[in-house]
Amino acid sequence: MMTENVLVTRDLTKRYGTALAVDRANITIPRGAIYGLVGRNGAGKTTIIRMVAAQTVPTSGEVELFGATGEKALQAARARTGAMVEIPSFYPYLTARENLEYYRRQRGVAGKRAVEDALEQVDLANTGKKKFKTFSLGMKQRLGLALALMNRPELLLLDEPINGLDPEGIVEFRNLLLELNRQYQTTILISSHILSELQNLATCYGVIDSGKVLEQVSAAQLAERCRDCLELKVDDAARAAALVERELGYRDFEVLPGGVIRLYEGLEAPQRVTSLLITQGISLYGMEHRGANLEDYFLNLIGGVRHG
Amino acid sequence: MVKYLNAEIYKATHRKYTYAFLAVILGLAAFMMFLLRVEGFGSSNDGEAIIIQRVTVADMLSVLSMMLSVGLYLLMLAADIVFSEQYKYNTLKNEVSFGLPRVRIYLGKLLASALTAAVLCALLVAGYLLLAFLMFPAGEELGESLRTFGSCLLMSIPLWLGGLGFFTMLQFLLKGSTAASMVYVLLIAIFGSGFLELMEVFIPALEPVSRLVQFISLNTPFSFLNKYGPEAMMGYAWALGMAWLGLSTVVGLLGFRKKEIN
Repeated sequence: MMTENVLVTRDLTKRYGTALAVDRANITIPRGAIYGLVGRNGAGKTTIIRMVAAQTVPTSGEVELFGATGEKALQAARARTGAMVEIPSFYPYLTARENLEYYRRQRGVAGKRAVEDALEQVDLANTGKKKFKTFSLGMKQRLGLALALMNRPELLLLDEPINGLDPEGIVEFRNLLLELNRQYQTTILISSHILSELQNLATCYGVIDSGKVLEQVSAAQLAERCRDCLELKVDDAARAAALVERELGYRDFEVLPGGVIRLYEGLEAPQRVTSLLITQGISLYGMEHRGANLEDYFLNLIGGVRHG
Repeated sequence: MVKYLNAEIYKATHRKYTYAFLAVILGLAAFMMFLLRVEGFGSSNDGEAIIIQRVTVADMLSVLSMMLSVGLYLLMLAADIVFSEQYKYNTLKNEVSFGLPRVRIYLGKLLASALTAAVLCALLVAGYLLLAFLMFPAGEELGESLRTFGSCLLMSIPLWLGGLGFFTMLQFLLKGSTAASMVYVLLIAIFGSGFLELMEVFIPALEPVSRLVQFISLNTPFSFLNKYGPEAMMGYAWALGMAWLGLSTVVGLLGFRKKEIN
């Protein structure tokens, strides 16, 4: 069965004067996925989301939402989305309930209950007559999420949504997203620079740097690439691999260029490997126990930490 | 569009600003009438109050007819109640990201501003008349004054709409209501107040520009109201007002179509 894609961007580009904010970005998000958009500040994550959310017009390229392309069709498709881009913005002189009621009427969301449901979902039902201007950043974030959820969206666009949330709020927020994804198959595009948080949520990732989407990878693929291994550097990798397979019975390994072998089994007894190789006359230049997380993987992909 | 207007009306009625605006204007009107009423009485030597001047409701209607040009400035407040500093509060992004067409957003704000202005105008006129009837006698020329006031109002409506269209365009194209208000007041007031005519004295070459500006100024029909009467100015006022409304709406829509929403 073919997977339906909820969001596809094709060569999406945004240029501000001479600066290229997004450079031919191609991302594909299947229905039901939680897509983590990973990148450092200024990498182009927000610009991509803003182009999808019609807040900025692409210089070139195409956005396809629920199979729809073209301005008119996209406008209709956007009514099936909910977005929270950058800092949530509301009318400061209205309460949470009044702000949501205003947007409920504007969007034609049926039933006044929708406002109460959305407020309850984000734990803001008891804010009473408190005006938005007196809200803490965390409360503002929650209200932003309530607005994004009010029309029961099929696709949620969330740009750095956990900024300003306290640890308890982050856990609640994560659970809410997982619940929405599980219960309603809500597809979620979430950008964040807090990679550990994304790792708890995302089912696939897009890595972006300097406006370019470097890679799209599923969580399973990432786990495969990031799993623990014993990395050996030897003079003859092919012979060493054959020895390990024949003498120790290891099957889960890979041979990389530059005399590198990665062993994914026998990690608890590395001395067995080293003894074998040395006794068989293979020069061992180095051995390292490696285990990468999303952060390591990301840094490795974009070429390490940049300073200055 | 109906949903959009419904939402805007909900917002306008939930702002203190709307009621404060009404209260301030009616308060000023009441204060002015109170002064006129007090001025209308004098004292005789024995301390008994005597009427030295008789102000009537008809007089107050004439005053109101002459003050209709102020509507060109008051409409900024009605438009501001609706537009609500959208760029300052970044609330436009909530509208475009939901897929609301920018044309609907623009025209929705314009229509909502016009509706708000119409309701506020009706309330202000009604309040003014009520105060006038409470404080002054009707006067014999009331019927005639009402008819003249009606004609003046009919002449003013297109000019106000033209101003509203222009101010809405400025609100959408300039980032900030303060900037929009300053540009609006500068263009409407300064160029409609004989400023260029004054400059002509120093720079004679400005004469054709001055004539043109005077011809297209929204203030001009108000300036000639006393001289020619509202009926004579009616066609000109409607043509001028609609031209301002149409042109500024087209320019505003074109500018807003691809504007960055931050």
